[in-house]
Amino acid sequence: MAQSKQSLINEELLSGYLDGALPQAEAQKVRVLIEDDPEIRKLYQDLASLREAAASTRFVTPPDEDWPEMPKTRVSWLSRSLGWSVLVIWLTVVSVFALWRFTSQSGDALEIFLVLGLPGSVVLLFSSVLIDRIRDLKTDRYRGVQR
Amino acid sequence: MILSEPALPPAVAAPAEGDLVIRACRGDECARDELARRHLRGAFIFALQLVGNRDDAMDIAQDAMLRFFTTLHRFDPARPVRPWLLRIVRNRVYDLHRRQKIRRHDSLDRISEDGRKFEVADLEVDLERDAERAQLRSHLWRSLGELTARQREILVLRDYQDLTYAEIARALDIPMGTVMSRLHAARKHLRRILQKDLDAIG
Repeated sequence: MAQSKQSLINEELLSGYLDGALPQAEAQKVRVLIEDDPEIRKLYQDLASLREAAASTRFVTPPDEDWPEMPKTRVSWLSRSLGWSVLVIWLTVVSVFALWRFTSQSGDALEIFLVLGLPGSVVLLFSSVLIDRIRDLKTDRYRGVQR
Repeated sequence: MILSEPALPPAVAAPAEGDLVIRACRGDECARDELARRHLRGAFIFALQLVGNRDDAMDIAQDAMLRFFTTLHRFDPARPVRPWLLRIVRNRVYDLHRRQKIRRHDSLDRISEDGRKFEVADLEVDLERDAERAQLRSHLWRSLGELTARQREILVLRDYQDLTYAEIARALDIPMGTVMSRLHAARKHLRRILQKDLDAIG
């Protein structure tokens, strides 16, 4: 009997009724069926309690300090990218120049240290970070997601 | 910081969203900050509801927000921002899964194995009735992971995000008529999963 009544309406109208998305005439039909048919009433009540449970679930959002700073505009993104690019190019040029000076001309130890010390140490530090990043890339689950 | 509260005098009404979009489109950083303040957390929660873990959700929410700003010139300021942004979030989630070549609930399984938990805060657990409801919410949240991606996204948009059928249709780019049928199928599937789980628990 319940089956025959249920077949009188499209069952998905129950969801429409639950969400208040039906026109008045259809809502009235569904309301009558819910009142008359225990099986449909049970289904409706179950769906309603699931909806209520979902709607009342509260989610924790991360505090402000957990969000990494991100570029807000295309201009700031471009500036940031350009800044890093220029820095890398500058370091490369200075290092190559220093290396060339070191290999092609003789100088005293202090001069060599002054020329090579700063860029050399920066390159070494930068390389260590780069090596770690490259190694992480192979296993990083988030590599596809822009941070 | 992008999420900081704007220093508005109490008597000044918050600017309308459409105005913010127009100003942001012209490069007004205050308008962008305000849009981010209003929507970044919502984007995070939706991403969390789709991917099931905090770190992925944060990455996706930020990425979606950035993409939202870079595509702002294509956005109609007369329309609400939320469905548009949620659509970007949803697409980023799909991109992520496509790249990882895993299905969404596979990732949830892995997260469970890793010991990470879903970020659900229940604030009302004092009374016995509330404890039961909290348990139902917890079961429901875990069961979401067993739905198909399509079922999960439509259920989340309606029951967790409280979008209207028209907004869901816009966010998912599907006809209005499909929303109700897909949503009902998702709810019935979820009900079956929950019943099975509860039967298993006894």
